[in-house]
Amino acid sequence: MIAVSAFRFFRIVSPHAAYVRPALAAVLAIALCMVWLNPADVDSALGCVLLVQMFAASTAFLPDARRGRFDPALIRGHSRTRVLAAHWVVSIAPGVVSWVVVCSVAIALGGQAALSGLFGWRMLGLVMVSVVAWSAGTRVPRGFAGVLWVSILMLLLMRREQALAFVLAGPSPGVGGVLEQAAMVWLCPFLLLGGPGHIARIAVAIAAFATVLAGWAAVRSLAVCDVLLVDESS
Amino acid sequence: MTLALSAVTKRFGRHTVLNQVWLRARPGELVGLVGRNGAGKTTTMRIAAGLVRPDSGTVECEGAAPPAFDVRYFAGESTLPARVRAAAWASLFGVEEVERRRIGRLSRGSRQALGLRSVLGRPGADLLLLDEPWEGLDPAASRWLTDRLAVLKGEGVGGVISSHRLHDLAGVCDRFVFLRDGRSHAVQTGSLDGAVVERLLAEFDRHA
Repeated sequence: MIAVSAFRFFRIVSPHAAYVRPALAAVLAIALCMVWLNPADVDSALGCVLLVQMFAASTAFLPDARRGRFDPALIRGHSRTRVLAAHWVVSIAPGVVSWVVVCSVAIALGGQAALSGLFGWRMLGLVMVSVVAWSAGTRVPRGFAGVLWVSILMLLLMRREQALAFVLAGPSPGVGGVLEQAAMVWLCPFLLLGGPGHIARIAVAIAAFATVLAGWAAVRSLAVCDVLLVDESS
Repeated sequence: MTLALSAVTKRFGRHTVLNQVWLRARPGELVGLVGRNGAGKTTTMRIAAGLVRPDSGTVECEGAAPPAFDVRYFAGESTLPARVRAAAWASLFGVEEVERRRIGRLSRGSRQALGLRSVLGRPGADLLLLDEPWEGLDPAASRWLTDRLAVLKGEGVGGVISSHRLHDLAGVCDRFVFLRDGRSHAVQTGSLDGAVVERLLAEFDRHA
């Protein structure tokens, strides 16, 4: 039998909800208009893409696997980790492509800040969203991690706006302050869009480490979990 | 390739789904896995395919544990992705498919036939795991499946086919393993006609 490459499998059996590609196309069109009107302000455009990526990367690996959708990829002698890696790459790909297009157009129009969208802080924000949304979304319905994340952000803005102000105002000398900054950056990667600003580098590093940890924990738990078949009729 | 499940036990919480299940399928031998709905057939198949880990016992194929060996596994039409086009799905397996519509737009029988053609349509792994393969098939597709299994058997392909419909299995399987309350019983050799197997199952139910 022809070996089904995990990447090829997920390109054909798309992990995304039907709305993701049209939504991203619409957001990309809006983002490109924004960049065209003001190439120096690439962050507003990238913020739109980042917001959609929170939903798009939440692709519900386990619920789909338990419907048997991924059986051919999971049984063909591939390691489960390799299949998960392929699923993650395909899950984040539309958002990443949109991001790269926006940055490239901004750079072409003279917005040099967009360079960090490809190689710097802004790119780190995209990576964090892509990893955390996918990891948090592996066991819940599609897009749910995005809904949860945005809800937490809204709550945070409403109830603890001083925390956000604190992050933007400047570094706190204590360990607690750095940890609070790290937590804020992790919960709100939009903070990285303007560059690190007053955020302590160590706080960003801690947030990045927490992101890696979240991805690792998701892969590790999925690599050993049972892929039972859920009877949808029951 | 010989597939061997030895003393496989699986629990979900306090509920023991499989309790010391033994099963062996040799090359060129098709074993019918028989049991009522909820007897543990699907769990047994998924353990054999490496998708579920047993709590105790072993699954081996020529010394390798799943998913290290290749297997042709199909768990039924409900596992096919509805939004994918039939031809694209078949192309994953290197099988030609003339149907261009999305899988979700096909009838249940057509989806089942598509899944089976994808798994059985080309030369490949010598080990089969088919879960209720006759479900929803029309008579022509059903005949195709029976004939195809006979051809594969002749080529040395072995494996396990589960069903609660004994008449379907009787024509193609060499042996039967009955599952009841998670236990495997009554391995019967020789090809049997449906009526005999029904009687066996009735006795099995009475004594289990």
